[in-house]
Parts: sequence; structure tokens; C-alpha cells
Amino acid sequence: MMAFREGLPATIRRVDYQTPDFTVTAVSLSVQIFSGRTDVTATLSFVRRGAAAAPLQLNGEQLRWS
Amino acid sequence: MVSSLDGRELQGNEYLRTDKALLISKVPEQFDLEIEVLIHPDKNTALEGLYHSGRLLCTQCEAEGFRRITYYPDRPDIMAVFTVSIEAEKADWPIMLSNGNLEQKGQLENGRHWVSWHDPHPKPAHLFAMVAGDLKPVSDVFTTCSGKRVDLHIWVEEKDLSYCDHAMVSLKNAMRWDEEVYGLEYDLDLYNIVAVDDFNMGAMENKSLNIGRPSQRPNFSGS
Repeated sequence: MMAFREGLPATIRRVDYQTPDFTVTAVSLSVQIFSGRTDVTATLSFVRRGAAAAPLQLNGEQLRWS
Repeated sequence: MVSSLDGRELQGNEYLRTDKALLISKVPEQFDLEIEVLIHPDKNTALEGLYHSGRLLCTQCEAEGFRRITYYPDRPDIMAVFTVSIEAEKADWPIMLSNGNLEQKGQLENGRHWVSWHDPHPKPAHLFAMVAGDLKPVSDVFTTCSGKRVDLHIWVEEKDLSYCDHAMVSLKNAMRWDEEVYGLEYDLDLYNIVAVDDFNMGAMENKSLNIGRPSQRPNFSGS
């Protein structure tokens, strides 16, 4: 990718790498575009790879509950 | 319904939401999670996620943009098969593209239409892409080394339709080069390029849906 962005991204160090507790096998995304807003319904199929007690942690930014 | 696990709606004490994460404390070994969110592409100035770029609605998910589209473990070592349906007003958004092969499309009431895309090859979320807008295609066909037909489309604004011939020749040469030099036969039925002035990231090589500016020399390798 040839991208130009302001600022530097946060450093991610290889030595800190940890395998994910869950993997995703399938993503089904339904995107409905409306004037001024877009509704996204995601169905994610997860399989645990890590410890049995590990919680599910997902990233999300600037998302609103519909 | 906001979020459900294997069809059961999650209660407020089962999850924790912050401005950067969604945590669900107790989940089984294997499960389906359904999450509905609302986003505002017209107000998204981060240039990551789904945003309006001029008259186009497009995505930029590398490096960490997919988390602005839905909740997800947004890291490149998680590879999943994506199926994507897009629905919009047909007059405003006549063309709706995503990764993989076009599976189905149809008309709805009130002038809306929909398409569904399926990419059978597992990929990290940063290679997810979608584009919607009033684009016109320049089309051709590539026959792979084993004889499979691949439809090639370069999507541009109408004013740029006459500038695509060289890019199309380059695309076919690049696909042949991948076969002859690296033994890599293209693995889908369709290859789309979107070339619009409005794309402010420069160029992004998503799986089967490259996005860039017409002025950008396209890099087709690996896509």
C-alpha cells in the first residue's frame, strides 16, 4: 500500500506477539447504506484457540449500537 | 436486538463496551456472534473504515480500519472467509463492489437494490474492501494458464473511460507474468480495479478489488 498519513503508527514489537485466543472462520457482513448512516450487521463464526477461560476481546472504534 | 450469541440476545451484564473494544466474558469453544452497529461514513474523516471520498463510498482497512466497520479481532493473523451483501438506493449507488465473486443481485422496493459477494479464500480483515458509487466499467477477459475465464473490470468515472486501455493491457500482462514467473494462477472469476480521483489513500491492493487514483501506477502483484 502506498499511503500517506499524519503521525507515526504505534510500534508493535514481534517479541510481544501472542497467538490469538480466538480465530474467526467466517464473516457474513450485511451493509445497508442510507442517507447519513450505514447499518452493518456482522455474523462472525468464532473458534477458541487459547485458554478455556479467556474472554472474547474485539476491537471497535466509532461504532454505535443501532 | 443489538448483539446475539448463537441466536440468544446478550444481556447487559454479559459484555463490556469501551470506546475501543467489546469484551464478552463467557463464550463457548465455538459460536456465532451477531452484532448490529450503525456507522456514519459521511462524518468519517479518519480515512480508515468506510467513508465518503468525493462521490464515492469506499473503504480503507489496512492497517486498522475494519474495526471502524464492525467489532472484530482486527489483527492480520486471523483469516476468515468473507460473504458480503450491500444494499442501497440504486439511483445514488448503482455500482456496489466487494471482494471475491459476485454471487447474487436483486431489486427491492422503493428504488433500492442489493448485491452479494463471496470470497472463498480466507483473508485478514485489512484486505476487506467495498466500494459504492456511479462508476462505469471498461471490461475485458483474461484466460488463465489452465483455461479458466476471468472477467476484468476497470471502474472509473465516465470522463475517464477513454484512459483505461493501457491499464487493461498492463493488468493482463501482470496476470500472465504472475503465472510465468511465479506459477501463480489467478484464483477467482473476477478482478476489479476502481480508479477514481477521489481515492485519497493513493492505492490499496485489496483481494480482487484494487482501489487507486487513475494517475497511480497500479501494482497488481499478489492481489
